[in-house]
Amino acid sequence: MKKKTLTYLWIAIYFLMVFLPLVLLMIFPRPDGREFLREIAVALGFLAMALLGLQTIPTSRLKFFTKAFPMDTLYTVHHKLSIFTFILAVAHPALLILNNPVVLRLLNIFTAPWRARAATLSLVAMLVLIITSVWRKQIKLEYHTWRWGHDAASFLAIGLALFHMFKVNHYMALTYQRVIWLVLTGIWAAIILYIRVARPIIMINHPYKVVSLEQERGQCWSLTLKPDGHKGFEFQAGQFAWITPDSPWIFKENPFSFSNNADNKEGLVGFTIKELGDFTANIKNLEVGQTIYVDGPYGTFNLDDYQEDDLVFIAGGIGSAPVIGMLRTLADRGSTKQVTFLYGNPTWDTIIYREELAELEKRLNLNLVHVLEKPPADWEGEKGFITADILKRNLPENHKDATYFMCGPLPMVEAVGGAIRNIDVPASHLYTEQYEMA
Amino acid sequence: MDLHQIVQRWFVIITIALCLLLAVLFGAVQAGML
Repeated sequence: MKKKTLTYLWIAIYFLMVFLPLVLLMIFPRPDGREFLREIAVALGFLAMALLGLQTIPTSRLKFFTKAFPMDTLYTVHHKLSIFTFILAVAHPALLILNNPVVLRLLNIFTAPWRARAATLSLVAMLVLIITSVWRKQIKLEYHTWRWGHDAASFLAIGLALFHMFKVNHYMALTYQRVIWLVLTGIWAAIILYIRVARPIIMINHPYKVVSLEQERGQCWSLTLKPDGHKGFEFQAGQFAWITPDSPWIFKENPFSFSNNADNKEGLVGFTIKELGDFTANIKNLEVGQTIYVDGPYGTFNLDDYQEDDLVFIAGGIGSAPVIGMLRTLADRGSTKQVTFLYGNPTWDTIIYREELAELEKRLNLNLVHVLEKPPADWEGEKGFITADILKRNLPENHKDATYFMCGPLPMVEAVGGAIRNIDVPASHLYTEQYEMA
Repeated sequence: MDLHQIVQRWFVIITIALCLLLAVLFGAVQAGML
């Protein structure tokens, strides 16, 4: 199935799961109606419940789902819809109170019936989820602590909301509504079980060993892993995987782009990792022969879907990791297509793979353009950040027909994305990947 | 903004719009206003 068709199919299934319970309620026989505000509140409650449960999907890393959507898109949708879900969940009791202020007494956690207590606690859990996710860095919450807390609060929010909905038992007294919601709950439970039980087992049964660990410029390390007792997996240049030296049961894996040749026959996977956070700061301590667990491949940012087009790569700093992987793969295939690589770095001495890139210029039809923020005094190349002017000077004449891959920190992706639009490159020709997703 | 960012923006906007529209429609139907 074509990727575009798959994308629209998943969007249709998602809408179906959100709206089906309410649409069926409007079509089939149901209890008599009540006040306008009260019924809107009920509808918002149903919709909030469906959206809340479905938030398990975008971040689940299910392969059939990540083939259709880039991971950063899935995370962004998850962030936005989670906040909207919370607003709907708050609007549900707010409208009930507005309709009949007596309902206020149900917010008293000490005297309210259990169905109302569950709803209040679910709202509190959702509030905790929003605050700790939006302001995680400000409240200095370490990523992995946040992740465990996020899972626990999500589980509580969904479980308590379901308990509330089934116990209210007004529209839920209808058999077909019970069946629909039980099926939806089954889907969410299956996804949680896959993430928390099946995936760690799969990772443990398919371990990798460190083959080499080499220091590069700019506090970066090249890590190469080989499958230990299995064939490994095939990946496409530009994709990425989650890796961890710890047990997969403690969920401390981190995502990195493949930077080695995708066509290697030994199942090797290579990553270029910059010392930045907790995990990456310790990357230099890995030892040859050490076991690493790998979950992948993921990502729609890849070379193989765009075989016919000329290519333009744009990367900043360690954003070059997937580009290096794509260039190595193209060179291995003897590609003759026109490739332009605009590569932004702070200084000449921080350019990762500088010598190898010079070699790749000889093997490929590659126009390599270094852009330096702080160039040496005798530098005659491009300076500053990658701008529309720099793009205009260095892109091929047929730049509107080329396929663009861009990888780097969010400010660079946004700024250069705007510059690319300004030179009339269609949005459908541009593929981006940002560093930070969580 | 690439194609997926456009799809992503419209996906969120359509979800919000449909939720609000359907909630009001349900309220109106059940309250006997339609």
